[in-house]
Amino acid sequence: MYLLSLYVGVYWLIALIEHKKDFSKKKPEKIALKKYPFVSILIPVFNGGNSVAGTLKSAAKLDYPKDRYEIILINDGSTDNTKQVILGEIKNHQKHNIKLINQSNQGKAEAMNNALKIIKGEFFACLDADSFVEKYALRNMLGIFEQNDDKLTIVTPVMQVVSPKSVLQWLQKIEYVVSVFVVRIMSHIDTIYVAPGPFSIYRAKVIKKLGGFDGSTGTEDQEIGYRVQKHHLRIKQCSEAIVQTVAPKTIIALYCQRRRWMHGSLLNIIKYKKLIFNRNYGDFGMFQAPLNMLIYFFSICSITFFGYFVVWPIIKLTKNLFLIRFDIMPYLKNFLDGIFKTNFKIINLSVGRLFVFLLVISISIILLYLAYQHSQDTLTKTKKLYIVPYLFLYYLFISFVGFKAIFDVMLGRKIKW
Amino acid sequence: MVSHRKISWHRYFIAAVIALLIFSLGLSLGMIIDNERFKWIITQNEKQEIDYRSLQFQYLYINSVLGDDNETCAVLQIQLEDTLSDLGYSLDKLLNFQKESNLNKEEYDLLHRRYIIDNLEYWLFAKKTKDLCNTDLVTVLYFFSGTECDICPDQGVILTYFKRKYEEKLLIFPIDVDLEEDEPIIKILKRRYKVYNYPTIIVEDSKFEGVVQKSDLAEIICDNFNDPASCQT
Repeated sequence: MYLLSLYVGVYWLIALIEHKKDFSKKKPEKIALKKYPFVSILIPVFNGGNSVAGTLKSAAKLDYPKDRYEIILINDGSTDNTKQVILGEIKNHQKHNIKLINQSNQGKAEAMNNALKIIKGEFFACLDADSFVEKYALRNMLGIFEQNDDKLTIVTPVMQVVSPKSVLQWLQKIEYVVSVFVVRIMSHIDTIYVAPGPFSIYRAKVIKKLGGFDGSTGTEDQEIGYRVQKHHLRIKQCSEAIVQTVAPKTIIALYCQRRRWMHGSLLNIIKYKKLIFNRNYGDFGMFQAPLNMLIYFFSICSITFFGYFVVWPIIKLTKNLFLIRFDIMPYLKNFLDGIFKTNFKIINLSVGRLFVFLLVISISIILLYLAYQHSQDTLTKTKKLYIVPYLFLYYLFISFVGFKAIFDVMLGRKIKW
Repeated sequence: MVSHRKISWHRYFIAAVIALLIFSLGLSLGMIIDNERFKWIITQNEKQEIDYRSLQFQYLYINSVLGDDNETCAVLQIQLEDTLSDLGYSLDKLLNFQKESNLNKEEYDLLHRRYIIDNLEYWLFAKKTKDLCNTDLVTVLYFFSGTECDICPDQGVILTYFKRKYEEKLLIFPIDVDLEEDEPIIKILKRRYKVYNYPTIIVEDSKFEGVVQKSDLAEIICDNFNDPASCQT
């Protein structure tokens, strides 16, 4: 596991060095476009009454000719006040081309597919109802399409966590900084496999030809990514397009979100297993697809290590404390003495293992540092301390979810959107 | 569809070389340090053997030349306490370390045998000193099996607790019966005390089978001190 983690970290660092020119280049805030293709912005909503107005407002404020884009909201059988909020907002934005589709609850993928039938755009964007797009994002992303050939099918934005408050949200902010950076590296080696819900832009003709979205895995944004890769089409990230998204506040909400992601991801791996170690798919087949599978192996290892090195010793300690009826005085008496007397030569630990472990952590910290350097996000000094729980506890949490996903998939359990 | 997608083999190769280099560097460092530790263990064992010979000689000298002179008894007692507290502190940790480290089985078994012999020599010596000088100490022989006894660690925990509590006044000598095929003295002691089940502890000359709980063991140990009443506090 150590060796594999090291390998992945070093691989990314090499890819980064190979493309360092792009990473060091200062890019303009606003890219000038040669032409303004028509774009449809789809906002699927399910019980998003609290946030959809903000999402719609951000889409309406985009720096793009108003007659060159339309906004289509798909109300996926919401049971809250979503419909009323949307109708109110449409009234407030009469100069914009905004439509509302109401459908019975069928899930996000079907909501998108229904909208695909009526869109007029050469490109379309998907904007989750809990995300807020910055005004130059659309034109900057279309600029990437302009600079590339027709094989470029999806352009993804840079996601940031909007106004984090809880520790959990700060941890997710750090996570997003890292994953955006890794996706940026992946963008250069053509291995992106997910088109995140918050404002990915698609080439409409190609997606329609591929059959639209497939919600059977529960993560249609990843499924479409794999499908695009399968057809040797490309996905790129636009580092100058920022989308703010709301991160789950509570551990339960985060668990539910990640459970759906990890579960869906595993189903996608199974669905597209032929791509794994398939040389025809270049670096995607040889590196990214196996890595996506390896993440579950890492989850199993992390949970096993945690059980063996943390949970089991705690159980043993509790049992031992019970045996001595919790009288720890004799131990305290000799505690300091014990520390001074301890000879490192007889401490029970393998120095080799510790050294390799520290190296893996160092590579993670290097990646984290580089990610932070290249991100537009800022963390105050105190917030930087969250890196410690991020490295040790957050990974563990994600590993636990991955571990659980393996069981769920094996038992054939289904997860709802 | 015919693919023309690029595989950057050089990246895979360089990453593999660097990752392997770092990994083997870690492992080699670990091995070098483990080797150093092994050398240190050997030195420690030799030191203990010399300590024992020195003690034995002092004992012989007292026994044959001076008799039970109070002053020399006190000297001997201090010597014994010092050596035994060191022994108790380092030997079990050494053994733990040896189990975890990369020693091969043969080396480990040899060290383990030596550890048991050292322990039993000290045990015998402690008993003799107690007889000669009426030293206020209690000796415990602890028979356990690392392979056939799930409850033995529980007895180990309770014994360690009392060792911490009474320090050099309580001398515990663990005997791993898994080594009885290699070390005849274990068989002799088992026969002498009729040990058939594990864990079994011999406090002075009384035998107790099964895990002796904390409250019972406290009483047994205290009864064997010169002043049982003060021990209970």
